[in-house]
Amino acid sequence: MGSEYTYDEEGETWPFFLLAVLSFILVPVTVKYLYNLRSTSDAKSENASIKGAISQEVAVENAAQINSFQAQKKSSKIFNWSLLFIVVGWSAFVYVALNLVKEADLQGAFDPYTILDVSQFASERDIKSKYRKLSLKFHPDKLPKDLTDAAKQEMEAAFIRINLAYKSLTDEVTRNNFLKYGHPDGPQDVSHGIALPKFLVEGKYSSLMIVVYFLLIGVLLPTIVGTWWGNVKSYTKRGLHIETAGLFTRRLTNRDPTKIYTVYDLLDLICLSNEVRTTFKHLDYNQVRDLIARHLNRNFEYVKTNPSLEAEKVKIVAMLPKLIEGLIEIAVVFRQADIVVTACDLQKSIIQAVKPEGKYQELLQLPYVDRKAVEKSGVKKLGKLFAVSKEEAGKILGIEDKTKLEAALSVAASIGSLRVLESEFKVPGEDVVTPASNAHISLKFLVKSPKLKSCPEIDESRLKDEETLDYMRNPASINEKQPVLPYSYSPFFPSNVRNSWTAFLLSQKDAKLVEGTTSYKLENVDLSNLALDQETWKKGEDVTIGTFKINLAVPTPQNIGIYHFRLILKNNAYFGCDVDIPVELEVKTPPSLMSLKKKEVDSDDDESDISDPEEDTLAGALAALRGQSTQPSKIEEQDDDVSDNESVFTDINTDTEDEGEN
Amino acid sequence: MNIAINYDTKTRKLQLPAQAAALVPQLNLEIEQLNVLTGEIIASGSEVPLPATLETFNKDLSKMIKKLYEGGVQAFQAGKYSEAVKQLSIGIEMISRRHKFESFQGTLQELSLFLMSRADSYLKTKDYLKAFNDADMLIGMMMCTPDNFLRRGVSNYFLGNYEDARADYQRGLSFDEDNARLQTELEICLDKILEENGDYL
Repeated sequence: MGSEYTYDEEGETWPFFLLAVLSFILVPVTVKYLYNLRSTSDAKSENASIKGAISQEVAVENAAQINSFQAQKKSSKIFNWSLLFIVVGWSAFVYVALNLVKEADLQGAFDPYTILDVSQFASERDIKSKYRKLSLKFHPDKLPKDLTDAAKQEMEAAFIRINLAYKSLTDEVTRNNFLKYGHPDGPQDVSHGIALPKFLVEGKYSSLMIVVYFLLIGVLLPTIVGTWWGNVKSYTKRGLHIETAGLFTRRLTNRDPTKIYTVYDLLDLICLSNEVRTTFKHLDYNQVRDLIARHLNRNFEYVKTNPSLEAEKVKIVAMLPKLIEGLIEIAVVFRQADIVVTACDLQKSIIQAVKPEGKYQELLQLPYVDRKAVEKSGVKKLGKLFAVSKEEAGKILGIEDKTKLEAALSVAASIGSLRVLESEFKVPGEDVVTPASNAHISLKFLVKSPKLKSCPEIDESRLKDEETLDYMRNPASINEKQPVLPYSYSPFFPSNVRNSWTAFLLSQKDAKLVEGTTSYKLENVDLSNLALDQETWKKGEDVTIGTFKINLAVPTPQNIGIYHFRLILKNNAYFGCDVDIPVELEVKTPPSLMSLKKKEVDSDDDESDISDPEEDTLAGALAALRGQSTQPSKIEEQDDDVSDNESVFTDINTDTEDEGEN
Repeated sequence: MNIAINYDTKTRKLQLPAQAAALVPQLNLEIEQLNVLTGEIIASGSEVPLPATLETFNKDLSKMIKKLYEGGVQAFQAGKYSEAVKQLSIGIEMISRRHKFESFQGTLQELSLFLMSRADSYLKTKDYLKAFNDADMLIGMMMCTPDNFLRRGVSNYFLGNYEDARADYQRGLSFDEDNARLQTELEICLDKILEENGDYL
């Protein structure tokens, strides 16, 4: 190793080097840690600041297990390896900064103005007079006799510097040198240094240094990159294990088209996921299913008989929504709307601890309800609770205690559904939806408490969007201007879940999700309507109108015509507030182009736009069927026949309509 | 796990051991399907099955099926709905016994006729679940006519699935906006939904 390098023998540079490296690592880690800490802020305190949040306290039988689960989760958020790393890292930083950093020697830098203590714009006369004064003070001949040698030398050095500074400001040559090289003596030596003392590089420790370098580059770096890459590789973007994602994908691609997936089929699938299997190795598949079934039935037998198993139950249940979301994500890609809808229902069941089958989930999601009483009552909807007297409602829910009934009813009243006022495709700045344009779905709705009846008349002008620049650029920006939704009321679920709706757009033609669309989250809704009373609600002046804009990534069709879609909004936590509406898209040429395009439109056969290419063979079969003279007409006849009687049925059957459900 | 699949030279069929069949029902189903297909090729006598066109469609069977259909329709018109169901079910059974290598297009045509009529008959006999299954099958076969949505919607309505009925009617209307039957049924259904929720307009 040559010695053209200067080594950091005095330890002047390496502390700076170390500080730089440390701060490069520590600052991002600390910011991430603090951000994580902040994002897990208390659900209860946050809900207090959101209008329409449900703050009912309910005694849950497995509260001990849930609390310990939450405490564990919280403490693992605070006390983890990154905290240790941050503490050790920052203390090292402070130690180095305070004890090892020597004041930088700035002798190399030369600034004649500072030396002479004059301003940069001083005139030559000022400089001269200042120089005179200083040189009188520091001139070797004028120094006091009683000075020590060291002081004398220092003064002499200062005198030289003053001279030099003066020259650099007055003398032509030195001035040029100063301007060109930053020093009056011309170019200075440039030295490259290593921020390590010499003994580490050239002494007997050099071999040690090589080992350290080897460990750093040959072992540590590959390990860090390897584990990082391993994590990236084994988890999808949404945090789903790659094997789980593979399992879901295989199931959906190899799906038997005649098989209807029930909620339990999906639950089976989720229990086979890598996450559940590896985290709960000690439980077999049936045990896991049994624990989940106990959760769904609100069965807390294990609290007394086997508390540790109850704790396991809480852990399993807490894990499920994320897996269900992963499944939904994949099903969306495959455009399988039925799986998506079923999975959404499963998620609600898990969060509310309500069994997924049957028709009584809306009432069973309430606290304190008695399942048998509810199922016997035949009442299925939240709204019905507020259409009858309180005693009756108590009977329906099977709650005798007055305060408990009040609690259950207040929860019921706070589960707001979305009453859609307007749903249409829009193109910002256009009156009609033009071909191949970037349209969005505009949803205007009222949040409606089940205790409010009927619907106010809303003036059309109130549904118009203000055409601000933001809106024109990105219509969905309106969504975020509304207050964020609170945490869901889910006392039986161990984690806090933010309430939200997820929207899916289906094509009416094949009942699948529309190609190129994904799931859209509605997370900002003003819930203040929930507090209104019936009269104000019905008047409609003080109701708040909610807006949900869905930007579609796919452009509208090229061809003019009417296209039919179905928009489904599923709530992630509550039953009874989903939205399912048909939406029509009419693609038109803008009025200004109408005259130009008229001929084209006339010759354009609308039929071909609407018919589905996939249907071709079947459509052909159907057409052939229609052409077969007598038979089809008979069918039509029968149909009318049946339909004529159906309305009779409807009248007859209204009393016995409950036959079919059990 | 290795499972031995046996070939029975007498019946000329593949077989899974009974235990394994219970363990992997999907594999068992596939083997059964394979047996049916090979059985049909063997029975047809020719080494290669005939091309599946409408010309090679078994017309004799068609005649019998047509008779059954007409009988079913007659029974329906006479108001003997359970009789109609019986006749139509026999017809459907017959259709499903058709040669597997025959034109599927022809089979589908016949089947859809039978299913439509049987769904109607089931609606009359108030077997709403069965009516739902038939209508659902029709829609699953992409027979997206407004009538089929009406059938499924009405079944759903009487099964108490008002929201599903509403969705069916609305989807039916997307194929024919002016279908008066669908519109009135939708109205009735929407009223029912409001009523069930203790709400009003």
